[in-house]
Amino acid sequence: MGFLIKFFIRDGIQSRRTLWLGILGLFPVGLALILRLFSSPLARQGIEAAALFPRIGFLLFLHFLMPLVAVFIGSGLIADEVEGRTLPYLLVRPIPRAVLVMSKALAGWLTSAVILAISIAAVHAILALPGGLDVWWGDLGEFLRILGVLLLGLAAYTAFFGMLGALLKHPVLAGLLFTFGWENMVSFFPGNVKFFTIVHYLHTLFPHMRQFQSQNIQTQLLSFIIKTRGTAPALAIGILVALTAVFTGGMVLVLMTREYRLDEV
Amino acid sequence: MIEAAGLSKWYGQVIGVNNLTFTLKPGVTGFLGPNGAGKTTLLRLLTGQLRASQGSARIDGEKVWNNPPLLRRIGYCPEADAFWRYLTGRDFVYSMVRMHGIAHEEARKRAEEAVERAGMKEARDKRIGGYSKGMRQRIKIAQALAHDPDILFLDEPLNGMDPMGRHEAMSLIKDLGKAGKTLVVSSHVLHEVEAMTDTILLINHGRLLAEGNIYEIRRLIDTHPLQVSIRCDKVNVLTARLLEYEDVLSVQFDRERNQLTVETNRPDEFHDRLPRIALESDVTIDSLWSPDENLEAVFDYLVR
Repeated sequence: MGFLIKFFIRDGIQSRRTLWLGILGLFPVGLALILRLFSSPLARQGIEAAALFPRIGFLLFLHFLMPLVAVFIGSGLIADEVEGRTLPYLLVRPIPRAVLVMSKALAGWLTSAVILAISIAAVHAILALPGGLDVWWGDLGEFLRILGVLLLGLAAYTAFFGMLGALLKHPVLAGLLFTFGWENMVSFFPGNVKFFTIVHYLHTLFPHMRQFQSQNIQTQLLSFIIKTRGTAPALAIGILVALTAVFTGGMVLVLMTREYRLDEV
Repeated sequence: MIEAAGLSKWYGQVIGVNNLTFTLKPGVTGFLGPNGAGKTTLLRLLTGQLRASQGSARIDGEKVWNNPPLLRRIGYCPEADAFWRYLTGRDFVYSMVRMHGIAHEEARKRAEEAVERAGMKEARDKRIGGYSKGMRQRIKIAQALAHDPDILFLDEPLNGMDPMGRHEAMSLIKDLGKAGKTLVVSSHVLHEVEAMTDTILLINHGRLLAEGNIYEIRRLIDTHPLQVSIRCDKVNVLTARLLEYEDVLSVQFDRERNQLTVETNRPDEFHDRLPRIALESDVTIDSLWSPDENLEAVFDYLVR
């Protein structure tokens, strides 16, 4: 399995898609640099650049870069081998299909995790380091917590989009609709429907989440009308791990039962 | 021993292969049929990539579908011209061997041997994306035999190879057959199959039309003209030389693509003669193939 994972990581690194996602990962870094450049005017209004890190983590990473990376990497896990017609080389090796899928999922997750981790670490460093090492050090716990939430979310999303990629002909479109449609809208709805999103469990774990939500007046109003209970952090972690396992299992099941007619690709 | 019993595969309303029953013994067996005949589907069933809709495929009594340990004994060269193109030839073969659970050092040794055996030693460190079609075919064959399998399934392995490459690949296949391995080679070119074996399965529209010795089929086919397409550097020169012979009924050429299509009623003599003419006229042949429609016509003729 070790060699397989290495092989698939190498394959992922070589793909143009990974390169583009890496470039996209520079976008929050660029934004952080701009914020740092304008730190003096911000400070005059009582806003510390370093204090913006959780907000950037929430808006740009949790709701944008992380799911986007997961859509593109996850949906290609099986679909790329089908489109590239390289799947037969893998299917005629003495490797159980479950191992094949798990290796692909793990390699995809690791590749995406590196893109995200580099990007968010750079953003954190740009925002916190100019305040001194002690500011950076003081924020490290929060940074690691946000990174942990992102990596947990990445695992669940990558497995989910991997399953879509094994099932559908146009998984990227379906993935984008799911991410920026269902997930982004429903997770802010009051009531129990948000329990059917992945991002709800990530919100539960995200530091300062209440602060971000309280600013949305419609949400406050609806929350007043429809009372809902939250999810405990431990339960949220458990559910995210379980979702990752279920979606990976789904991917295995699809590869074991679905037959790809590569001549029609 | 490879056994198919009532083996069928359909995709919805489309029949891939239909109720095939046969037994293959060690040595080389040719699956002969035009494109779309069901050869690739049959090979994918026999290598466990597809599950039979009905009937069974077994190797030495063991079912093939969902049986990873059995795949250690199988080598497969797919028809598709598909690769991880950023890999070098050596890395590609090495990676495929490693996926058989063979340790690093041993995999490296076996990959080296297979690459050399397939005539790719010189180009082994170039990226596959930069290979010619013939080189890509050779490296596919190398990955199929690198882990030393007992059974090899080669799907149209000679497609797009130059005459020298074809000759070498055919010799390799025959040698492996003589060494006691079981080889199944699919092709839509009778001449190719005939050069490797006299045991064939004639397949069309997913059905087994004939099984056994090639000579009877050859006798029937000999009375039917065959087409051969050639891509070379001196189309005019080669055309002029080929038209000197009585068995060449017509030649159509396309100067832009440096390609000519010859119709001959004595394919054996034609194939024997071609390398000599090329050598005498200083013509470099890049590739040689028989259009699919050609064999389709022969099959229609045989079925009638």
